[in-house]
Amino acid sequence: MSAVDLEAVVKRYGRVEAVAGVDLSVESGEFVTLLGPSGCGKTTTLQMIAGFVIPTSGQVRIGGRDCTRLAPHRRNVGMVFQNYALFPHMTLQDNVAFGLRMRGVPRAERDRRVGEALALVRLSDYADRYPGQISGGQQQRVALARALVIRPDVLLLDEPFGALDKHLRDRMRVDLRELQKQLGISLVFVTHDQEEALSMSDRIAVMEGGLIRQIGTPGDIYERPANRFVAEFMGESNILTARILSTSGSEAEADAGGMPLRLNGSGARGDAVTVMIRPEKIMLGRAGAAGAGGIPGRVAALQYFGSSVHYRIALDCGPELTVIRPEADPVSRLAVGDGVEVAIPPGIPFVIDD
Amino acid sequence: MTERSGSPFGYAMLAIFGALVAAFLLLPLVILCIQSFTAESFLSFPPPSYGTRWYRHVAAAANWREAALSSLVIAAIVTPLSLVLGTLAALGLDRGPMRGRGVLYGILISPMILPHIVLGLGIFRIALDLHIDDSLLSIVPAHLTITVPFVVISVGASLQSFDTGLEKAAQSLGASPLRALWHITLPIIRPGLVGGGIFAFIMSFDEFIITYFLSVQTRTLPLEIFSTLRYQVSPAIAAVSALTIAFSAALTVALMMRGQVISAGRIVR
Ligand SMILES: Nc1ncnc2c1ncn2[C@@H]1O[C@H](COP(=O)(O)OP(=O)(O)OP(=O)(O)O)[C@@H](O)[C@H]1O
Ligand SMILES: [Mg+2]
Repeated sequence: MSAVDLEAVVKRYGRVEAVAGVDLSVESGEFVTLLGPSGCGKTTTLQMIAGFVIPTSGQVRIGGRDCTRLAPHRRNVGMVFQNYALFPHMTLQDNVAFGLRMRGVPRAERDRRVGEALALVRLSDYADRYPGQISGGQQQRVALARALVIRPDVLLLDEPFGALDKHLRDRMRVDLRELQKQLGISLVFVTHDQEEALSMSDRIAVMEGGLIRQIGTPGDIYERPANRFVAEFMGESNILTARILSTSGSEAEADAGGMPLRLNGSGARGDAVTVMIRPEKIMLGRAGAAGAGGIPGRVAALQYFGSSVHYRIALDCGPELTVIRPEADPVSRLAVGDGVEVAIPPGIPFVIDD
Repeated sequence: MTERSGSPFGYAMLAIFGALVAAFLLLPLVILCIQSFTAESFLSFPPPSYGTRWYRHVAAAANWREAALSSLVIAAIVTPLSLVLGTLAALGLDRGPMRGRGVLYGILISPMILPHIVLGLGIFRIALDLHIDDSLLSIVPAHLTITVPFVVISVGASLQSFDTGLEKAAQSLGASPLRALWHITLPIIRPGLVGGGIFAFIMSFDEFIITYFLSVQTRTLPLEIFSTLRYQVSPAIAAVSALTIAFSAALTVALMMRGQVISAGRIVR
């Protein structure tokens, strides 16, 4: 059974359509991420699951039960807020115990479960401290323990790592994912960071303008974006328009402004299609070097990122391509103006909706 | 601490000026307190001889004891009512719709700027019509018009810095809005509640003008001081005044210490 179902959910504020019709099912034990740019409706969607926003139309079901208009405190939903929202006048122990107190869980069981929850996030030694006396990362973990201890039907997190530094954020990602798997908890995570989404999720729903533009596994979303928006949002990409020259089975020969491409995907001869090529999948070699044997071009610009180098390659036949190579790649000593050859392995160019 | 700039001369001027203002404000009170310890039958300064004669007199006199008691009773009724009404009003202003908020706030705190004599006259008229003058039924509401604005301001200021996300967090953990208010909001804004409550108490305990309109038999402490003063300038008045000052000062100090304890607890973050 699915943990959460959203069915044709719409939220309008006056003339603004914050969420314009979202269908989403979160399976039990699944980690689903809502990913999208600022203002695309991620928070609004999450708040409708939590009950703080009532949909204009559509239905919200939690554990199969219609909760569309149910008050937040009557839903069994855990929430971690971006600023953690820990109760400053309570010790960590009391913060974590709060949900159990509200549920009338007897003292002995409450103490035991709070102890377990604090141990889970490695904060047992801090139980008597106040939120003001611990670090941001620790506060984050208390917020998590506080939401988990009530054994929610679904755990909701709205950009929970936004306030942490990069190092801590990476650590928390791993910790959260492990906890979620260990406890088998259903989880909806909101972020605008595609790396975060790719590295943690079972499935990602990419949102734009109040709509889910694509939903799928991280591999699906990254390798096989459904449209230009998803392709561009999920990282660096080359998007070209190509004309199909000939087809044979599931393969097609195409031409993108003078550059020959071999595509996966069908289409009729003469069709114009939009093609996406991930820059790290493109082979690059010095002109004339053995094994290059591709389309000639020239380095127009390059950017050094430590672990990788991003090249802007101007092909002699016209189009420009972005190519990303690991820093360790032998071609990495290329300079601006150097002659190069580019090869695109068959099947890498991917036809997308424009 | 930031480095302060300025000449030593400037500091000296500031210190002298500050001392003068403090003296101007406090000197009458100090003289009054000294006079209250006179052993004579008449007020004079400095008193020729000292003693606690008048304190003993006040403690034994029925009229003073009754007046103090009725002032305390009124303030003890007015204070919790002010806290409930003022807190509800402040919450309403804080959480309600933006539109009309300013106007509503202005109306709520207007008794602070209206001349009390005008306020008293108005309340007197209504009390007469309703036949509730000279009773707690009119005196308590009359005091509330003066005390509630203090609670609205004090609690309102606390709510300004209160993160309503905490209430949402409580609700997501299973607390109804009312329980979230009780367990989360009220404890966190407690400094504002304590401050507003002490203000309300002092204001009510101290109130003269409006109570004067409404009272015939009822004697509060300020009324008793006034009526005694009309017939004789007894050192008893100085003693009563000194006691009132000590009482108010104790409350104020309690308030300040509270504030300090609370901020010390919070400042760690
Ligand atoms: N209470 C509200 N009243 C009016 N408009 C709102 C309200 N809440 C959200 N909106 C609008 O709805 C849209 C979606 O907002 P939402 O907060 O869901 O975006 P988001 O995806 O969470 O963005 P961000 O990444 O910036 O947090 C925005 O255009 C926003 O301005
Ligand atoms: Mg948001």
